[in-house]
Amino acid sequence: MTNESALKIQKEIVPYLSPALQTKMRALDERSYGTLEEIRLRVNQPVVLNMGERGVTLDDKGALSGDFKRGYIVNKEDLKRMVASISENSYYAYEEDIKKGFITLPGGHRVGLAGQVVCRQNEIGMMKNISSLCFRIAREKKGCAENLLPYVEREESIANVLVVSPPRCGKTTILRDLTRLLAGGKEGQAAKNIVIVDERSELAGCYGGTPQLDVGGHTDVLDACPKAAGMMMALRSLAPQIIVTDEIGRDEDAAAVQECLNAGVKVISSFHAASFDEVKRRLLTKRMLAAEAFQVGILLSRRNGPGTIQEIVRWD
Amino acid sequence: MWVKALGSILIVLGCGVWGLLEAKKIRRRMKQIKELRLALNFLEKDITLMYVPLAEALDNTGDFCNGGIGYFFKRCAQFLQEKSGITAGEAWRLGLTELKKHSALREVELHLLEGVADQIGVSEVKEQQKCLDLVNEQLKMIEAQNYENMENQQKLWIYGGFVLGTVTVLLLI
Repeated sequence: MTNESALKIQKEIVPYLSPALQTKMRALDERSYGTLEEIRLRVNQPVVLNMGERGVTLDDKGALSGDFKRGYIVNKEDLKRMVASISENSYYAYEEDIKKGFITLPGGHRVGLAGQVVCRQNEIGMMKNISSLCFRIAREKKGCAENLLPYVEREESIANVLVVSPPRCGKTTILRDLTRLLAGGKEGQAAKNIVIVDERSELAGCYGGTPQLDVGGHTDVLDACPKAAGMMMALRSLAPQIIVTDEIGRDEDAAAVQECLNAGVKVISSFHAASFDEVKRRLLTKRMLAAEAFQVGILLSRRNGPGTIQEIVRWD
Repeated sequence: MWVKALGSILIVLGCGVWGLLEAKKIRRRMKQIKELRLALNFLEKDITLMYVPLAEALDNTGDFCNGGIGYFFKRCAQFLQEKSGITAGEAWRLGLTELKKHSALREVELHLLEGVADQIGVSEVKEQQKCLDLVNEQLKMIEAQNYENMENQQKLWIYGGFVLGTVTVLLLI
C-alpha cells in the first residue's frame, strides 16, 4: 500500500512541482509518501509537508525536518513553473477553475491556489500573481464506509444521511466510499442509480470530465456544477435514486435538498461542524433537521486518524 | 584561351545561380509569412473557441501547416509535452531558434514572433486573442508591404546575379 501510494504520488504529483522541488521530493522514502496529505508552497516561505498530524519541511538535501528554518524556501520562479505546469501552460483553459481557486490534476488530486484576486462587477474575475499552492493528495480508502452500511441501508431503500466533521477528517473519502458501495450493489440487491453533484471536483476527482476515483458503476457525475443547480438538473434529467453532494452550506443548497426529498430521491451529504450540537445550533442545519431532511447523522473525527467514526445518531 | 572561356562561363553561371536562389528565397519568405498567418489564426481559434490546452493546440497547428512553419509548432508542442518543468514561453523561444534554421523568415518576422513568447498561454482567452491578433495583423502589413516589391526584388536578384557575373568577368579580362 505504501509502495503503491509512493508510486502514485511520484507519478501524479511530483511531475507538477518545480525542477528544484522535484529533485528533493524524489529523495523521500516510501514511508513518508504513505502519510503525506498535503504539500503547501508559499512564496518566500519554507515548503510544508503535512503528514497526518505533523507538519514538516524539506531541507536543501531533500531530507524531512521539523526545523522550518532549515526548509527549502519556495521562490517566485518555483511558483511560476508550478502554476504553468498544473495549468498545462494554458491559463485560458483553466480560467474557470482558477476563478474557483483550484485545479484538479489527473488522479483526482486538487491544487488550491491563492494570489491576487481581481473582481469584476462584484464577482471574481481572475486570479493573478499566484503566491501559494496547496497540493491535496486524493486518497481512496476502499471499504472505509462498509461499517456504515447497516445504518444507511433500510428495507427497500436507504436513509437520508448527513456526514458531519471538521475539515480534514475524511468526510469526502467516506462519502465517496459510501457512494461506491451503494452504486456497486450487492448479491440479490440491485445497485442504486446515484448522481454525484461535485461542485469542487473532490468527490469523484474528475479530470477532463472523467472520474479519476472509483465512485461505482452506477454513478453519474455532474462535475464542477453548483450544488443547488446540479441537484435540480439531476432530478429533471437523470432519474437518480440517490443524490450525493459534498458540504452543503447555503440556503439554496438546503432548498434543493428539500426538493429532492419531495421528489422521493434520497440525499447523502456532508456538513462542516465539530459536533452534533453545533449541527443543531447552526441556522441552516437546524431548519433542515426541523424539516426532517436527514434521518441519520455520522460524526467523524481524527481521533484514530482521518475517517474515525465518532458517533452515529438517528434523527427519525 | 579555353580555360579563360570556361572560367568566365563558370563565374557568370555561379553569380546567376546565386541570384536565382536569392530570388527563390524571397518567394519562399512571402509564402511562409502567409502560412504563418494562417497557422496563428488556427492556433487562435483552438485557444479561444475550443479552449484546447496549449501543447495540444500547438500540435494541432503543426498538423495544419507544412514545412518549416509546421515544424516550428510541432517542436514547441514536443517541448511542452515532455513535462520537464518548461514554461510555454521557453518552449516557444526554443522553437524559434529551430525555426530560424528551417525558414526563410527574416529578423523582422522572427522578432514579432519572439514577442508572443511572453504572452502565450499565461493569460485569459481575451488576452490570448489580442496577442495573436496583433501579431497576425503585423504580419499582414509586412506581407502587403513586401508583396508589391516582391517581383521587382526577384527580378533584381535574377538579373543582378548574371550582371554581376558578367561585370566580374569583364573586369578580370
